[in-house]
Amino acid sequence: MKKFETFEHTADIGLKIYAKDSKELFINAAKGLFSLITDLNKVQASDKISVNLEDDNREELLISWLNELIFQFSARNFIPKEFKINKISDKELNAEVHGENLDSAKHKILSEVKAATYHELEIKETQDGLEARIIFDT
Amino acid sequence: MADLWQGPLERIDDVRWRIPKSYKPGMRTDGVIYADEKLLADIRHDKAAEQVANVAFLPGIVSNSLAMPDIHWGYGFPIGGVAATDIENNGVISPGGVGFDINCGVRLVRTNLLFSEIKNKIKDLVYVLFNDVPSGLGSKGDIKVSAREEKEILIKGARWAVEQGYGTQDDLTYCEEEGAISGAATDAVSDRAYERGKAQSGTLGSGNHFLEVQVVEEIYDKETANVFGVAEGQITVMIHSGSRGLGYQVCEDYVKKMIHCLSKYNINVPDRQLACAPVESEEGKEYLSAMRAAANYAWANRQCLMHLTRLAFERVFNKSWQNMGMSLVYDVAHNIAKIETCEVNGKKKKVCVHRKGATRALGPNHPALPEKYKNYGQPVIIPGDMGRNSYLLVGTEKAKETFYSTCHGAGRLKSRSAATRSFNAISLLEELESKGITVKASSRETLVEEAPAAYKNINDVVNVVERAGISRKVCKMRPLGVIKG
Repeated sequence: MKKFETFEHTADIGLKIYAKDSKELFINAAKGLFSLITDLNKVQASDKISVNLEDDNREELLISWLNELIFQFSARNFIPKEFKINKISDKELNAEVHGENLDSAKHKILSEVKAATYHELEIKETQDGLEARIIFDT
Repeated sequence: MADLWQGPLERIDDVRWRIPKSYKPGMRTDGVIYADEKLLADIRHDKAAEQVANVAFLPGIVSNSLAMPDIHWGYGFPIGGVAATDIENNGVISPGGVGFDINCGVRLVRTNLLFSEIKNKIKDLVYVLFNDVPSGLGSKGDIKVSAREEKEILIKGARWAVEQGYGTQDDLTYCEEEGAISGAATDAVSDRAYERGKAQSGTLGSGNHFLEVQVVEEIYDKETANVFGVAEGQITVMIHSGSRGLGYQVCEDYVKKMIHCLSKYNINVPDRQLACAPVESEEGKEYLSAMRAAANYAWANRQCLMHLTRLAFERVFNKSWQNMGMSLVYDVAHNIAKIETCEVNGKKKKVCVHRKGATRALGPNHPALPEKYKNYGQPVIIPGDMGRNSYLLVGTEKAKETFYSTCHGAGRLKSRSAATRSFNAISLLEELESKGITVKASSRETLVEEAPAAYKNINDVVNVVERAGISRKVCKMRPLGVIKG
């Protein structure tokens, strides 16, 4: 099954994410996002950060998760590559994220993503599991 | 995007189209889009018009939910959207009505150099600018600041840069809000926003941010052009930048906060990205102070970029920037919310004007104008895409119908991914070179994404605002050298 694909948005980038459950949805969304930013094949999973988040519902939690990772990248130069979600509910997330610090000699930045937005945000139940649509400001 | 938007667009006149408030239950007012028939056909290709209707849901909105001819699909507000809310009537402020890049804007610098004299040096100039003015994705600036200074920047804006020797008093006089909007509060800005902004001052952003060397190609209004200090054949420089990571984080922090305000203040909006709170509420005031801090940071940033530009010119031409007459024509914000006094139904009202991809355009005799421009109106700087013209316009009294706002650029036509599929970097560079335009971009990807054909024709956009009377053409510039972030 396809994990994610981009869709057209005039000014920005849209991502459709497919997963069998919430855990996979959050992981695939993060991978989709960072595949827009750089070539993840060139990133090592040598460092680790922990992410703990709380929110009102699953959709907002998903946006908070992606924005947390964008923050880690743009403020702290950390490129996330692999994700281990220890705990997830509609309101809470605890994850370990593995990746490495940006090295401009090695990692090429493909595009700057400012934020994940709530515009037309949707998580749908489908036959195969879940499908989400997210628009990023780029 | 293959589906055309099917909603109603009623013709008011040749350049104004109405989305009636009956289109969707919950709209508090009509939407009005400024466009001609050609641009209107493009507008139906994405969801921008639906967003104009969504903005009409905002509590306290006065007049209409407006959209300029460069309108395109954004998130929350359309890009090119203008909406004013009545502060005394529970009018709201929406961080999504400003966007992530708070006080993204442009400044236009004049020179006394003539194209005919420096023709052969354009390439050198572009290379030196590319080298000396930091640009590119996540680039870090040469001008480093301490944590204490960073707080000072958020209050003092461009004045901070001038105090460091990166400019003069005149640079402040000819800047919207004189380069620093009052009411900024450093404690409304989160630690995360500070952290994200820390290393980025003095840098150009990526994507649509650029620095452009231009020649004035055609004058439409000689008298006003004279007052603005521009003449045919003269070299100008346009700088386009915003508040970078600091602004993005401020927006993100407050959209999240204001999602909670929707139930607290019983507000109904059709899109969470339109999350908002009354301007006079605690959350509204806090956002406004944080947004102003980010706006000031952007003005300081553009001032630093202008300083580095002046130094680059000095290096290439072996003359002081004062000798080259490098002074500021004006600097305008195009992503901002401002408390302004405007006329609504014949009465003066204090309103919160959101400009999301729109430029303030004050008419003659407005008290916020610098003395020299008082009888003429505010210079309005409209960057085009890298292969076509840019414009200098002037505000008009008629623009009171748009809360003294006008368009901000060409407006996107094709998505970035569609542009990447359709164009090739090498042939694009060759094409631009054949038109006499030297381009230096920090990556091929951003170059192709910003290909001229990905944009509407700026000439069409500017003609609409002129026909509508909400601003007037002063002169047109042609690009000679483009440095893309």
